[in-house]
Amino acid sequence: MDEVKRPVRPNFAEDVYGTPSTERSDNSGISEMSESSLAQRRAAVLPKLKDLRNGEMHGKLETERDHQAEIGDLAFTYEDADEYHNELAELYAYSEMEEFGKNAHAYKAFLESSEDFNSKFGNSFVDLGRQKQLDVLNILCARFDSASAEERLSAARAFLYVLQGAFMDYDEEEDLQLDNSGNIFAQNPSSSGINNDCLIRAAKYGYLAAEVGALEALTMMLLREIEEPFDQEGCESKVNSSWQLSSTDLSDHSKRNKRSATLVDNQALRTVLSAMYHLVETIRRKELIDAITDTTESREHLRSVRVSFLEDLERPLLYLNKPLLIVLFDMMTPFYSGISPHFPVKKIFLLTWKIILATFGGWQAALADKNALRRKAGLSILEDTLEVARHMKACSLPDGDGPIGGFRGVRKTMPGRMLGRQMAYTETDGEDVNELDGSADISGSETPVPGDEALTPISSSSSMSTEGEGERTPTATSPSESRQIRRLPWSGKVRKDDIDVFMQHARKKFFSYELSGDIDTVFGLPPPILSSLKVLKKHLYVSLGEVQLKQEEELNRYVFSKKEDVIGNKTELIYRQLLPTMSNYVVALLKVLLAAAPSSKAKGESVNIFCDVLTPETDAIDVLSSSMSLDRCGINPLEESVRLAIDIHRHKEIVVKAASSVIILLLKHFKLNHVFQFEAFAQQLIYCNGIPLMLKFLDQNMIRYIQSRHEIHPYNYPQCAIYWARNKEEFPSLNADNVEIGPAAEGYYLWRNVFSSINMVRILNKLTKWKLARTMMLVVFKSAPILKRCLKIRVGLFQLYTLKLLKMQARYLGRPWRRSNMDIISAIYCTVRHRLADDWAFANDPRSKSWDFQTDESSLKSLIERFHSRRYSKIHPAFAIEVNENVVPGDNYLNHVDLREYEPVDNCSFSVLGKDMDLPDNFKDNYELWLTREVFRNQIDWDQFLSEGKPDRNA
Amino acid sequence: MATTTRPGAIRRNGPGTKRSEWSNWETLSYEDMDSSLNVQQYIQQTIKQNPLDVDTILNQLPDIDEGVWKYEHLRQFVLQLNGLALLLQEECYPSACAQMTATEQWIFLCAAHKNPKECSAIDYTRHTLDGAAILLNSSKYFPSRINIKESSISKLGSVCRRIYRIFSHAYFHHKPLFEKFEAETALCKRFTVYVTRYNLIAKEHLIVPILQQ
Repeated sequence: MDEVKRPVRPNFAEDVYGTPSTERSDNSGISEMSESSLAQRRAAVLPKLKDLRNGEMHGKLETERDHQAEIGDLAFTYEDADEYHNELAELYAYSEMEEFGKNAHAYKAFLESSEDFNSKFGNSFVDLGRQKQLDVLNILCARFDSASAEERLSAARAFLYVLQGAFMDYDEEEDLQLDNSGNIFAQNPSSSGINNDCLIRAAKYGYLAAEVGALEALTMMLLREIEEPFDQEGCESKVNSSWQLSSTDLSDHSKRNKRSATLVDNQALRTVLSAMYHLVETIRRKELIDAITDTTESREHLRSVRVSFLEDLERPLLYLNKPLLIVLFDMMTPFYSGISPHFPVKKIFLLTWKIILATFGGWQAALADKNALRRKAGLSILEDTLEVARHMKACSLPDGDGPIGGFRGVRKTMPGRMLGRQMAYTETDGEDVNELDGSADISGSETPVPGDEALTPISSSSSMSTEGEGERTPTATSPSESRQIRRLPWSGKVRKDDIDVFMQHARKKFFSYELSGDIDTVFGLPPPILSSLKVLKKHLYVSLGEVQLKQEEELNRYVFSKKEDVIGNKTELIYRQLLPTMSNYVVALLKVLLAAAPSSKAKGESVNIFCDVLTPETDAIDVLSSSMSLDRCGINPLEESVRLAIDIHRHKEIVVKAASSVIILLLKHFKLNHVFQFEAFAQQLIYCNGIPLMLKFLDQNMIRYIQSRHEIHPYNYPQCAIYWARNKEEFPSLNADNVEIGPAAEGYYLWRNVFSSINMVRILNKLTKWKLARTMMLVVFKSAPILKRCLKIRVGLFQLYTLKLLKMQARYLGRPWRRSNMDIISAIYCTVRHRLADDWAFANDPRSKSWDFQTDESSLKSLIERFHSRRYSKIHPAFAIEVNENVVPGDNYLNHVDLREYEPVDNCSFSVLGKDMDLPDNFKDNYELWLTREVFRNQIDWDQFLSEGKPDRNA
Repeated sequence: MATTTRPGAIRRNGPGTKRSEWSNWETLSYEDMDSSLNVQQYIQQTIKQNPLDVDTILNQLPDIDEGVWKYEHLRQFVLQLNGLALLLQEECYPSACAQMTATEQWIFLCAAHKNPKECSAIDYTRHTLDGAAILLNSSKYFPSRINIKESSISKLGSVCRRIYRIFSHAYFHHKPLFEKFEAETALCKRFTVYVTRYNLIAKEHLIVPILQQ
């Protein structure tokens, strides 16, 4: 916190307080009191200025929550996922560490069992040569078909061992020929050459596995393992967890009737899911191809393998007719409903997330799609929020308890800013001057700005670009380097409805007459209004959603003449399959999120998400409840009890990361496809209390969350596995050398937690934007202080989305709030895109007094139902709405139309004859009579009947 | 153009064809075949000429695409295996062979269901052959018979693996039947040579000692 270097004594101070003593020591416990009793009384309750200046006050004001009041700027860049090695490391929980060894042993056993492979090469996989490696993988895949569960499991373990990089090959120190061509791993400072090499080999073997068709074999095995019921009676613990607490009481296991699922129940599932995850994560990343091979042909070959793998991934399975993604979603329902509580939910979520990324693409693909769609619809293309804001710098917002003020701290840019402001006024062309009569928040001229380098001139919006780069009115003090006008990186937007409101307002004022819906008739309006209108129209932004909404209205209105052209792209197909049970999936996602929220008790919730972290021994321990009270400063991984707690916290964090990504990706892609699909999914989220859940998530000590240290580096893959291979099958032991204890370094953050938090606020934004009812939910749930605390995280993107949420509510929070949070208002002004004619910060009364939010949601619901009925009632008959069921305001006769009456009559003889008809009983009894009467007695010219009216060719 | 010695299509077994006249038409060289299914036609022709001459049947002509060649041969195997399945039906009762095994070690799951299940041997045979037919005929995986998608080639390997188990079960559990069938058609030998040549099954899985005979 920068000290304000200006004198604090006002000029009447001498009169009131007397002359200050010149000796002032920092440790003087005696505070100086003025002699005036009035001043003394008043001063008694106020914090002493002197203390404030010395910065001591913060120690007193600090609560447990603001443990670290401020953190510096975090160098975080938002990506679709973390780096390759981190993602793979997060797949494994520390309790699963033993399984690295098991996998290696399974592979050894496999080698011994087959005559072809033992002998010359020992256990080495890398020396086998490509063809033999393919053979190994082929044989293992064949063993997945075995009916015996142990066979399948050991084959899966051996397979996973290979996919993990066959780390036993590293056990000879001197034989290492490191292949360091892949420099993409080099950025990770904590990795050594061996780790990189292991990852490169893992990637290579992943491609080999894809070539032999491993995905199909693994999917078959997954389907088989899903069928295995959860054995409630309990089985012996097969896990020998030497590193965990040894003082546990094992005798009580058999007595428990209803036990919860633990690691031993889902070994096969976990192995299969991990193997699939390795495959998907490796092949999804196109850039890995360049890291693995050098030559062009091999790269081409790998690229074609990649393409066919991705095709396979999205194709529906042969007998199931559902793609793998839907299979994974379908696993979530039995998990939370209690039928199969042993499913390893973290791995399921992670794999689902990665498959969604692989099939639909990440944020860049979504951006490209959106731009293509907009181009096709003839709409303008503006800068994308995510793209620009990824590199945005954070603004510095003062601590809530600190003195009220604007941006404190002397900034070097201040003189430049003033200069910039001056220049902006001199540079504006005719139009800009007229903009000022619209509303005051048009950016471009005044930007007291925090972030420096993020603001680059954007070429897309023409009127906003001040051409102030080269041409300046040269003054004597003009700076030597060319200075850019600082402004927001977004152009302003305005909706058609807003222009409409503006026009109506103007017309009302001048003519007392409204022409609603018409924004073009300008007869009789004065020139300032005309020029405002011109500016507004220039910034008119029509979203794809609005276009689709309009189409939807037309399709509903003109049911016969307008037919919808549904494009069967990937998103559409997945949506169709998700639709029937979408509410189940949403419930599953949110329940798991709730269970994984940081403040939740470990086992109190309805779903037990720890079945892939706990062993039967640790299941019994009470560490879980006591782990909640872990004080961050006390984290010392060298203590055994802390390790389990770290594992559990880490597990929760990863689950949150995966779940939040799945939700935001689905929201984003559905919205791109059709806005009602997005609305349907969003509404499900709302109905399942998504908003309070996410607010609860954000309502924790965010700084502590961001800087969480729930990682034990030596236990992560691949270090752990390689250590095991090189140290005679022992796992790394933690000592002071390989574990960091103590406070975190400056600028430290945990990528996945920042990522999850950003996803959360993005989801909240998407759910509540333009929906009054949901925005009021935000207000009602008192989200403002929560979001305010979130602003302490110095990540530009996160702050942007948080500020957007605050901007939405600012109107409803009242003037006192706005007055006391002026810095937040300024931050919003400086960061968030402006909407022209928007009075977000001024309005005192809520826009609509009607608190009738139920009808908003239900009218949306009926629109969505209509959409589903129109599009999907043929595929999913449950969605068809009956006549008069879904009453939409408007032309009433449409409610009486039953489109099914208008289907063409089926007159194809095959299909008619193929239908199963239910014949009445008396017909069957009197069948012979019917035959005699109707068939035998009638004279039918069969030749003419069979020739079907076609000319006789053979005649 | 093929010369017509009788009206109608020449290379078809029309309704009413006697067993002695079955597929009784003259042979053509591959280059002269101009139908779109010429590869199948050629393969079937070669087989008819001498079913036991495995090498000639599997001899890939230079202008045939390898993917198409593999695919058409596999199709032909599935067609002909129905003969073995028919014979097995007489002997291989679910009560006798309740699981699909070959040697004692391995019991196999039948993959032709929504979730893989343990089927009896005869059920496994029937389901697998049906499943292979569905796969090979599916328009998603094999939309065209003239060029085969790269991504679908790997499916051939898994089909071969499952089909092979039919042979191995028949050999180890219904030997006389197997030998009779093999004497007529040399199907197992041909299949073994086929998968070895194109590396579709690992050698370890080829447990029927057919090539030594």
